[in-house]
Amino acid sequence: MTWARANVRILVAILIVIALVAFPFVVPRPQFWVVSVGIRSLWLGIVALSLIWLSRYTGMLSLGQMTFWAVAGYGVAIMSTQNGVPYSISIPVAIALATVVGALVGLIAVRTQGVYFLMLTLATSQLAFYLVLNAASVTRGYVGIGNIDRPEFLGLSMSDRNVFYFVALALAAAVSALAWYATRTPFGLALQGIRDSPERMRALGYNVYLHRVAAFTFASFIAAVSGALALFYHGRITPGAIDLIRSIDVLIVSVLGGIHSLAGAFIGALGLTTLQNFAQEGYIQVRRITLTGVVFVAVLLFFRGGIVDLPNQLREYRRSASRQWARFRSRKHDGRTDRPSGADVSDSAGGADGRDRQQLPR
Amino acid sequence: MAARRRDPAHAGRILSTRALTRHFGGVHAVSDVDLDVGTGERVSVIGPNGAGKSTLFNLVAGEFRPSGGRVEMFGADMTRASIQQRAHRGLARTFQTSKLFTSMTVADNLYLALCGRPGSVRRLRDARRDHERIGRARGLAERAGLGAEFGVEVGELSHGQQRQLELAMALAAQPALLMLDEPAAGLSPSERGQLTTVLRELSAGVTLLLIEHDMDIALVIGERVVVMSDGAKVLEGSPSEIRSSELVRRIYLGGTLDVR
Ligand SMILES: Nc1ncnc2c1ncn2[C@@H]1O[C@H](COP(=O)(O)OP(=O)(O)OP(=O)(O)O)[C@@H](O)[C@H]1O
Ligand SMILES: [Mg+2]
Repeated sequence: MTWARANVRILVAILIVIALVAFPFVVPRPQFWVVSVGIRSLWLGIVALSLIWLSRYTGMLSLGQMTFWAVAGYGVAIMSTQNGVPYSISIPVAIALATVVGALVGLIAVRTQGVYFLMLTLATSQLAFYLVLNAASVTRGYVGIGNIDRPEFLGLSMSDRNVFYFVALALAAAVSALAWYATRTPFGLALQGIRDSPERMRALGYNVYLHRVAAFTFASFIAAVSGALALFYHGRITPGAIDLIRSIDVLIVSVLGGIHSLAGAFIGALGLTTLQNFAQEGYIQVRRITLTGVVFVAVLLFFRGGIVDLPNQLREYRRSASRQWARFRSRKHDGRTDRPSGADVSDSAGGADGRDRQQLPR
Repeated sequence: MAARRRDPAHAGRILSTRALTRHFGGVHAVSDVDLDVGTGERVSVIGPNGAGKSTLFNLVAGEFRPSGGRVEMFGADMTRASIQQRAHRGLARTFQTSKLFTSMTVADNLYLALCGRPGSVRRLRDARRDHERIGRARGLAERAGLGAEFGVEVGELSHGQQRQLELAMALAAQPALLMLDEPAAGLSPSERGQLTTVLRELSAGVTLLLIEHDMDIALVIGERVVVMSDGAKVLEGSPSEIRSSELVRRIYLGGTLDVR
């Protein structure tokens, strides 16, 4: 990386931080922008982060992340609302419990691969849905658990939307940093090695199975953090929050933002919440699910790297369009059938960068 | 060469297989193979396509479970040991078709190869601060002729460079027993020369088991040569014995042979 590019990066990072901090103070209609869009994007982004991290670095695409979200959310709700346990205990215990559940699911799920892994994790989240629906004596079934008080600390109350926003922002930054750091450790490198060649990793002496279980457990921890946060966002939790549509939403967020980049989680979440909120408010007269579906298909067809990769993809499209144009012109001018030149061929392969991002995780 | 030759009976065995057998359905990929390798010995395994050489390797490495027979390694019965256990005891191998971490850099591939055995690796610290191992990885890359490609993604390397990396990764863990499955496959003549040099310069303590179709390499590197055909070990001898063997000539000319 050159000096100039490094500087641009730092500048962009600083601008993003300033924008995120100034956001609640500058937007109009704060209830809409700070709460319905801002905070919702943050907790949704954290669940999507757990999906993207697992998919990007281990090659395992999980549709079960809402399971651990639900265990954490219901855990806090049941302990604190129904049994009077203080949040300082119920929150860490519920997150730990969800992580343990993640480890147990992982012990079984990571033995499968590809579409079987996808189905198994999806089945897990469905199982969680029916469990909370049927264990009505503790979960209150369909009605769910409401009247959740928002935590207070250091004289600040999360009932204040700005306080809530900054808590959510800090949590999102913390888990993102943790997830990013994990990929740089020998453990994280080993996960990427396993993604590329499990046979080689075994031959080198690594326990592939345990690494996969550990990765799955770590991802469920991230989803659990989001679950606890979202509980206070909604002020209640119901089975409806973890039905099939919600699990699919997490996948849509990831693909929309860019499933090959951790930042994609939050950008995708922002995209989806904005879209859904506008659909709900009636600016766009389409049913919410239909709209999401259309956007999802469009991303899959034209922008497989998601929003994060948009600049690269557009550059790629522009390059191929000008190539077509040049070919068209040269044909018109000298009337010969044209063969692709050497430059043409290497060009169509795209930069190393672009190609890497378009690769789907194995 | 002759000065380096060791008598397996005196040097102590690092590997013995007894009646090692593996079927795939009706195919007898390996049948009743008894193989003894002394510590520090260099043994080449040759034989036509489909002879069962790779299957034999996979049985020794723990990739396949034997249908029958035993594998003793490092002074213990390891017939049922896991792949990792064998690796931890000092076995390293390469694959006939490269199995590399293609979306990672040469540096990260070698770094992972250095961290496979349990021990002093701190798995949760920043790997980029692990200057000691990064330095060793760089040394390995330079010895493999990949010094300039240290930061390059492995998927971008040429076939020859990938084969070099395979070998470097197997050597990274300083194995006691090194098994190479056709390391010269697809290499140019000059790359073959380089490979031969690397294999010659292996430190004396390393035991080498080498599958190779290139006779120049197999017979120059191997102090002893094992010939396989149709899953069985049909001949064993010094390179000169193999070179003058009528049986080997017949096998390689493709004639079906009846050894028993
Ligand atoms: N996983 C497998 N499943 C089924 N059959 C197999 C398998 N692996 C090997 N075989 C069969 O076992 C026999 C021996 O194969 P092997 O790969 O060991 O031969 P080889 O000596 O290494 O040959 P080459 O020189 O072509 O690499 C072949 O007939 C092959 O088709
Ligand atoms: Mg073979």
